[in-house]
Amino acid sequence: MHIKIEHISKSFDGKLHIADVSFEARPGFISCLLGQKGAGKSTVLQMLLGILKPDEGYIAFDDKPLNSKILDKIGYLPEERGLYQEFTLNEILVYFARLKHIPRKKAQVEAVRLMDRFNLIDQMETPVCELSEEIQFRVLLLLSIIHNPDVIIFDEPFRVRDDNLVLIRKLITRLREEGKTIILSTEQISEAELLADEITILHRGELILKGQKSALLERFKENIIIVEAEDNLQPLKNIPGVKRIVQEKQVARLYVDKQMLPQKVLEAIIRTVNVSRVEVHKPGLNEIYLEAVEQFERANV
Amino acid sequence: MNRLWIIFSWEISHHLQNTRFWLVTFLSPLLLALMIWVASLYFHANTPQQSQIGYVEFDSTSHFQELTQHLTDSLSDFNSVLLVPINPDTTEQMQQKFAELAELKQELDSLNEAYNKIKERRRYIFQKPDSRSRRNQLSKSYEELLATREQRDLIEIEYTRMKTITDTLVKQAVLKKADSLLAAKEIEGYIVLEKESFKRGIVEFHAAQPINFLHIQPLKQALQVMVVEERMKDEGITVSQIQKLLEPIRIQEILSEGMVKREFKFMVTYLAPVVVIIFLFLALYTSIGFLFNSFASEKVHHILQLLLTHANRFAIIVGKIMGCSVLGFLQIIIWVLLTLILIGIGAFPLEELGFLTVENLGLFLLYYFLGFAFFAMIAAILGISTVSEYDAMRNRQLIRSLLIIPLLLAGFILYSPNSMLVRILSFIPPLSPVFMVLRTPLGQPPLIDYYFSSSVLGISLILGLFLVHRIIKVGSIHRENKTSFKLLMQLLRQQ
Repeated sequence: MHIKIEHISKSFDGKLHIADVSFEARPGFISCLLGQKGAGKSTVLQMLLGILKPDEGYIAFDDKPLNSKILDKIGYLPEERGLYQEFTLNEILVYFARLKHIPRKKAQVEAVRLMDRFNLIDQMETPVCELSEEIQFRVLLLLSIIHNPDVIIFDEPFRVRDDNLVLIRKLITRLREEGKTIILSTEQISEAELLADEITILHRGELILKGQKSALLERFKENIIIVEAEDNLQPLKNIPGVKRIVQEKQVARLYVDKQMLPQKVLEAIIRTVNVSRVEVHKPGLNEIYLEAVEQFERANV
Repeated sequence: MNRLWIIFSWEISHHLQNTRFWLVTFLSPLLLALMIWVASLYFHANTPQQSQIGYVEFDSTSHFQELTQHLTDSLSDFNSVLLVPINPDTTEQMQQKFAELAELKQELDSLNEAYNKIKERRRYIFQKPDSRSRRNQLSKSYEELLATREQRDLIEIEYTRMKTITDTLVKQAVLKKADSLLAAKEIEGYIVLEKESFKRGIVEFHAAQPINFLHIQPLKQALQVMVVEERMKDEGITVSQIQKLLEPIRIQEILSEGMVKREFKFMVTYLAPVVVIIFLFLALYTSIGFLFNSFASEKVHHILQLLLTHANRFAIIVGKIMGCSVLGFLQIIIWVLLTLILIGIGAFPLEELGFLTVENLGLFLLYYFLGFAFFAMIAAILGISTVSEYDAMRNRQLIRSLLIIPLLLAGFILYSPNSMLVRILSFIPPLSPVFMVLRTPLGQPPLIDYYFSSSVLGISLILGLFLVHRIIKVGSIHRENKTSFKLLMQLLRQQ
C-alpha cells in the first residue's frame, strides 16, 4: 500500500505541534521517522492511524483517505505498551485478531502459529500479568502482525532489550522482504541507519530533512576531519576548503568541502597547529542528523 | 456490528471472571438482610421494656384474667404492659383474725341453717288442724325462732365487724405490699379496683414517678372495655351479645393524593419499594463501576489507543456499555430468582411485592436502563480522561458520589412523593432514575412527569454519547493533566 502524507499540520490549544510535514511510504520499503523525543513522530503516526485528525493537509492510502477497510490492513505497535493483565496470551491474540475481522478459528490457528514462531507457545495459556515485560513486548509485536497487514506502523520499536532488538530487526527486515509498507519512528539513529530505506527527520514538529537514506548519505558526502591539539584551534577555520568548524574543548570537527582533497587540508592543519591527534571521518546518519538539526536551529535563530 | 458484538462479549467474559462481581451479587442481599436484622434488633433494644403494673382488687369478683386478656387485645404491636396481681404478706395477727372470721362465718352459716329449719318446721306445724298441741308447738317454735334469730343477728353483727377489720387489714397489707414494690421499682405503678369502681367509673392508679402515669393509656383502653362489659352484664345483655358489640374495629389507612385515594400499607407501599430501589442501585453501582474501570484501566495501561486501531469508536463505546449493562441486568435476574426461591419456600410473603405490577415493573426497567445509560456516559467520559491510577481513584470516588446523591435525596420522596420540589428534582438527569422509580409506587406521579423525565434523560443520553464519541480518540492518547472540567473542554475542542 502506498501512503502519501501531504503537508499535514496539527495544533493543540493554538500551539503548532506538527507543521507542514510531508513524506511517503511505499511497499517493500522502510520509512523511518527520525527525531528526538517530542519531535512529533508519534503525533504523525496517530494521524496516520486516524486517532488524530490533521488540521491541514491530507493522508492517502493508495490515493484513498483512511477508512475502516484500510484500517483493517494496518498493524500497529504502540510506543506505550500495555495489555489486559488478567487474560492469557492466547485470549488476547484471538480477541484482537477477531477485531480485525479474522474468523475465530482462523484467528486461533494464526495465534498458535505466531506463538510458535516467536517461542511463546509454552506461555500461551499464561495470564499476561505473569509474563515478563520482554514477553509482553513480543505479544504486542504479534498483535501488530497477526492479521497479516499490508502496512505496519512501529512506534519506537527499538526501545527494548537485546534479545528483542535482534527479533524486531529480523522481523522488520522480513516484512520488507514480504513487500509490506513499513513505517517506523525512532530516536535511535543507529537503528534507522541500519534498517531504513527512507528517512524523514523531524525536529520540534517540523520536517527538517527527508529523502532516501542512500541519497542523503551521498548528499552529505563532505569529509570531516577531527583535530585534537593543545593550541588555539580557531585559526583552522581559515584553512582553504574548511567550510566550518565545531569545537568542543580541545577537539575540533572540521567540515571540509567534498571537492577538496583531504590530504591538502591535513598538511595545512599540521602547519597551523601543533596537533596531538588527527583523523579523517566519513559522515554517517548521525552526522547528517546533527547537521540538519544545526542548520534548522541556525535558520530559526 | 461484528466488532461491537466481539467487544460486548469480551466485556462480559472479562467481568464475569472477576470475583468482585459474584461477591457483590451474592453478598449484598445477605448484607442488606443483615442490616435490616441489626436495625430491627436495635429497634427492639430501644423499645421500652415491658412495664410491670400491679393489680390490686378489693370487694369484687376477680377481674384479673379478664383485664389481662383485654390488655393483650388492645396492645397489638408489643405487649409493653404486664399486669401483676399483688397479694398481701399475711402476719400472725391477720391469720388469727382470718381464723376468727372463718369461725364466725361458720357459726353464722349454722345459725342461718338452724333458723331456716325452724321456719320450715313451723310451716309444717301450721298446716296441721287446729289443736292445743298445735298451738303449743307453734308458740314454742316461735320462741325458738326468735332466740335463733336474735343469736344469728348478734353473730352477724360480730361477723360484719370482724369482716370489716380483716378487710381493712388485708387492704392495708395489700397496699403496703404494693407501695413497697413501687418503692423498690419492681413495678411502675398499680391500679386499685373495687366493686364501686364499676359503678362510679373510677379506678385508682398509683405511681411513684410522674413519667409512670404514661402507662395509664394502654390500661385505660382495657379497663374501659371491661367496665363497659360489666355494665352491660348488669343491664342483662348476654355475653355473646357483648362480644359482638365490642368487636374491635380495623382502621383502613387511605392515602389521599389530590383526587386519587388508595389504601396505604407500610410494607407494600413504603418499605418494599425502598428495598427494590436499593437493589436497583446496587446493580447500577456494580455495572457503572465496572464500566468506569474498563475505560480507565484501558486508558491508563495504553490499551484504549491500541483498541482504537482495531475497532471504530461507536463499537468500542456501545460494546462496553452494553457488556456492562448486561452484568447489572444479570445481577437483577439473580436477585429476582433468589426472591422467587424465598417466596417458594414461604420465607417471603408474596403480597409484600404487591406494588410490583407489570406496569410498574416496565417503568422500573425503563428507568433502570435510562439511568444506567446516563451514568455510563459519565463513567466513560471520566474513564477516558483518567491519566493515572491516582486519578482513577479520584474519578471513581466522584462517580460513587454522583450515584449516592439521589439516594440521599430520596428522603424528600418518602416525605412527599409528589411535592413541587420532588417533581423538579425528578427532571434532573442524575436524580431522575431513582426519583421516578421510588415515586412510582409511593406517589403515582402524573403521566407528564414520566414523559418529561424520560425525555430529559433521553436527550442527556444522546448528548453524552456525542461527548464520549468526540473525546475518545484524543482522550486515549492524552497523558498530561489530571481530570478536570478544563481538560474535558480541551479534549472536546481537539480532534
